[in-house]
Amino acid sequence: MNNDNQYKKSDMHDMIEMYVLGGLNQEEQQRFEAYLQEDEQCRLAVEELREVMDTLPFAVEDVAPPKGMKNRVLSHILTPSHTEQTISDDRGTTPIVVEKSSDDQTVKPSVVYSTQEDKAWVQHKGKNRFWRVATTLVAAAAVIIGVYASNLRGEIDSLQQQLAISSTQVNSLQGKLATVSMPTQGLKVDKAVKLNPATADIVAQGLATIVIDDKGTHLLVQADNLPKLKGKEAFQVWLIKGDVKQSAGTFLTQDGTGAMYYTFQPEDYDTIAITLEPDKQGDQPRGPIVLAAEIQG
Amino acid sequence: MNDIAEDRELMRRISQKDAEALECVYDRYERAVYSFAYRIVQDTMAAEEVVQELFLRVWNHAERYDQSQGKLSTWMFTITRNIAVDMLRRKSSRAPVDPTKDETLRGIPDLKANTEEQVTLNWERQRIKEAMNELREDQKQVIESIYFQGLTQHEVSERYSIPLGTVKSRVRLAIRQLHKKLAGAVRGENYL
Repeated sequence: MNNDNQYKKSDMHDMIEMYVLGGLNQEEQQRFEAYLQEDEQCRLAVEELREVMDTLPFAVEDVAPPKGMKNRVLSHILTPSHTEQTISDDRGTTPIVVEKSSDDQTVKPSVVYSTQEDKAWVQHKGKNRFWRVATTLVAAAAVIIGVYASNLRGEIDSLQQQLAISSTQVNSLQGKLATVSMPTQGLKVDKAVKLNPATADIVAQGLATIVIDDKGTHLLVQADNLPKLKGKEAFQVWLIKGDVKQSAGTFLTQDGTGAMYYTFQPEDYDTIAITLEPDKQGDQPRGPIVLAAEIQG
Repeated sequence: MNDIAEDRELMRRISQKDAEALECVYDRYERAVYSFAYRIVQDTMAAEEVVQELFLRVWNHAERYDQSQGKLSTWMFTITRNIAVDMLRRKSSRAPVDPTKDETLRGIPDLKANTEEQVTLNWERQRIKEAMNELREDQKQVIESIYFQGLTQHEVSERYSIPLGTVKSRVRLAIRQLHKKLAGAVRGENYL
């Protein structure tokens, strides 16, 4: 028994360095830790070497953490769902004196976590994957929304351009409308002749006026007591110079009264006449003259 | 109040769900634990995941920090290594790390303000690095494999076809040498 203990002590003391480094497997580690309880000298040796091992993490190269890691880590931890979950895990977790949660041995006794907590860690990793997938989907959605928003922005820009063009057109048209609506400036009566019945049985009378303004030369014809039109009949106005008869347009009547407006190039005409035409399609007089007057040059 | 007393007070407040205290501890140790996690997992996202899990445990189990066990940094590094090594085992990414290549890859400039504390920390860190660099290559290999990659002595023996006795002796000599070199450093109170 004594020899066995001596052998065991020597064997265990040889394991001190491997134990503090973390190179024992689980079985060896448990055996060694059990032995530590009964060998103070060995325990003190472990404590002394452990202090050396504690410096090893400082031997690594200093690496700058990724940008934004602090926010990601702390926001993850301080999210209420994680806090509640881990508090729940905490109740079911028993601290044990082992350094490794795997099947290996340990460097030094230290409070770490039981298998339950390792499971929580695995679950947590799964959640990490979930959140990574969720984050990816959200990011993709954000990109799609961004593209969509960009397209909308483009459409809006296009519509705004069209609106600007339309506004310009509206302004232009409003300008024209304003011009049209304005009282005619510089209207000058060039000629005004009374239209007389062509025959004695016609009681109609009329007035032909030629006016000139900045838009051109206009013929205004108004007649009253005209015969009643039948069917497709229409009254037609002619400007005549010699044998050349130029149609100035047709008009219908209401209660025997009618009028028309005609713009033409200034030219010397000698006669103006209104005929009763079978329809509005003729380019030369076909019916009888109702009213007529000579135009003095 | 020194750093250790401050840490204990912060942990007491965290156990009472004081988010501001958690942020203080985070700010104090973020860089150190991230660098350590990165050294083990060799991946920025994985290292961040380790840090996140670490502080999740700090937040939910602050009361488990046994003040008699010493510095908060020691407790946090222990948990960080456990999480990181577990992650490596789950991913089964057991490829040995080339220390030379590793140093090159992680040669990211330190942007931290050059405070007196930082100067002291850098000096201590430099001492530890020098002590590590003074180890023989075969000693560095076993330290790397066991401490930073989480292998057991048996796994190191199998992977590198080294007799188990040789693995044990290399570890023993390496740790003793580090102890000899760093005995003064570990007695410093304001280490971190």
